[in-house]
Amino acid sequence: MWKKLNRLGLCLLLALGSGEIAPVQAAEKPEFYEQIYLSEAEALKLVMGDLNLKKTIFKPTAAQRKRLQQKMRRKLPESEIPIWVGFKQGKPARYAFILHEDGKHYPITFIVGLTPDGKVTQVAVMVYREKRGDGVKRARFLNQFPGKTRRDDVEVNADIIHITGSTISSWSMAAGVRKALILHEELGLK
Amino acid sequence: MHERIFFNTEIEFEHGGLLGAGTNDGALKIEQATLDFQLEDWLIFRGGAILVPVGRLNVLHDSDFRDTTARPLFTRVIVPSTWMEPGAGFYGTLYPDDHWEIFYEAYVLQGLIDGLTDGNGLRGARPSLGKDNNNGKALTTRVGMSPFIGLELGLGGYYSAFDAAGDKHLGMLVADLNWSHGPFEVLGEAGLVLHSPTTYRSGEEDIALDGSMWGYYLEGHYHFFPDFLKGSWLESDLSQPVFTLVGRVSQIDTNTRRFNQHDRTELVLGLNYRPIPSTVFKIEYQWLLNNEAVSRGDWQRESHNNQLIASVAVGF
Repeated sequence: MWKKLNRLGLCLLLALGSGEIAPVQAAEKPEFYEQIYLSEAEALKLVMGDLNLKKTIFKPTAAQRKRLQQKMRRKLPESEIPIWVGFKQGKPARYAFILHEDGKHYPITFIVGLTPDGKVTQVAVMVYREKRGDGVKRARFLNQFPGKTRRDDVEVNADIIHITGSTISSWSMAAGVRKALILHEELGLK
Repeated sequence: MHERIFFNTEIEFEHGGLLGAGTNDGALKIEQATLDFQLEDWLIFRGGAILVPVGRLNVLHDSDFRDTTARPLFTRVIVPSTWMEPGAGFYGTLYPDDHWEIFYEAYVLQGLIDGLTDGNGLRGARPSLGKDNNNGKALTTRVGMSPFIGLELGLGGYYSAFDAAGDKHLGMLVADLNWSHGPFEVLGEAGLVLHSPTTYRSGEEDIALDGSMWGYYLEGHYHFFPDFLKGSWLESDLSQPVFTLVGRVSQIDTNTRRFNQHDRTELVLGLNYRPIPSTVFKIEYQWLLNNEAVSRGDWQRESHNNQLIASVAVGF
């Protein structure tokens, strides 16, 4: 009887022990695998070069949010959007937006560089969180964006060709670059 | 599992799944289940129930990827999609510069069974995942290239012994194309199957199957969103909804030695609406014709009933 109880006690102890450990393991295990291609500093260096940088935070008012959503034809989930201004001889020479767009399951983080007159200079993927479909990080896809302005559609099936096997990520990247162009226009950046 | 180890599976509950101890017409099927171990970007080991990489559609067959409900006649009969076999091998992608992409897949697979027929082509020859009918193994590969974004060309090959003794052989070549430019897209596949003479049972009769098989499909897409619908409930809050007009022609011949009712042509005209990339509402009309009648200009003679097909598909 004692042996039986002792064995039961040991079992309970083991069960409790594993119960204590399990949540810690679950918390430590990432929800997704971040593939970090560029840190914030590296992305800004790539897009802004040696310009003097100033970071500002854009907090859209209710009216701005409404206008942005109308132009984007979708919701604007962000309450704050960081914008970097690159100065050359005291004048803005370039703008950079670090944005996040939902891929199939998780957000894609990327940087969009714009000239003061609203032309895309460069797009680079910084963090990709899906297990598959990272073809959008390749130059063969991203090279479609430089030169785009608000006059362009910047849409898959219009002026952007999606990557086979990365269809949703391709749509997300196009939507994100379009968002950067709309933000540039809305803020009247020059 | 790990940054370099992936497990992929596709389990289908078809026609309501398997009910009543298998007495209904539903099915519970594994359409693919693979373990990938990435050694390099260009060298990834794959083992498991593998989609045979002949043509593009068998590998990318998910309903939410496709713009029609029914798969092309060619990829139901000549390439019997969804076609998967147990096996192992390697795949990978190389990027020689900022424009080119070169990709490959190469596997040793279990191989087909002795189920070739005139009319159904290779559809009845797909093997069981549980047992092999002979000692032979199948070899398959697909190599492809994309010289620039928007153009992809592929060539797939497959070889297998298919009878129990391993004396009858089958070889197959399938070329595929995918071209996109603005709102236009063209995709297609064409294939040729050469095999040892064989027979199959139909009722009380043994029928000889001694000719090669061939087939193709060519599909055109036009993506658009009409101005008059902008601002409507079909567009608002949806970022980039799109309509796609689809046209397709597909032909097959499953025994070139006989010109008969099994030589068929399929014509499809369809329209679909994608509110978001992973969700699509499809409708299409399918004409199923006899090649011999088509060659005489008789477009009225149906090989099977023409069909109006509608479906919804979502990827998750």
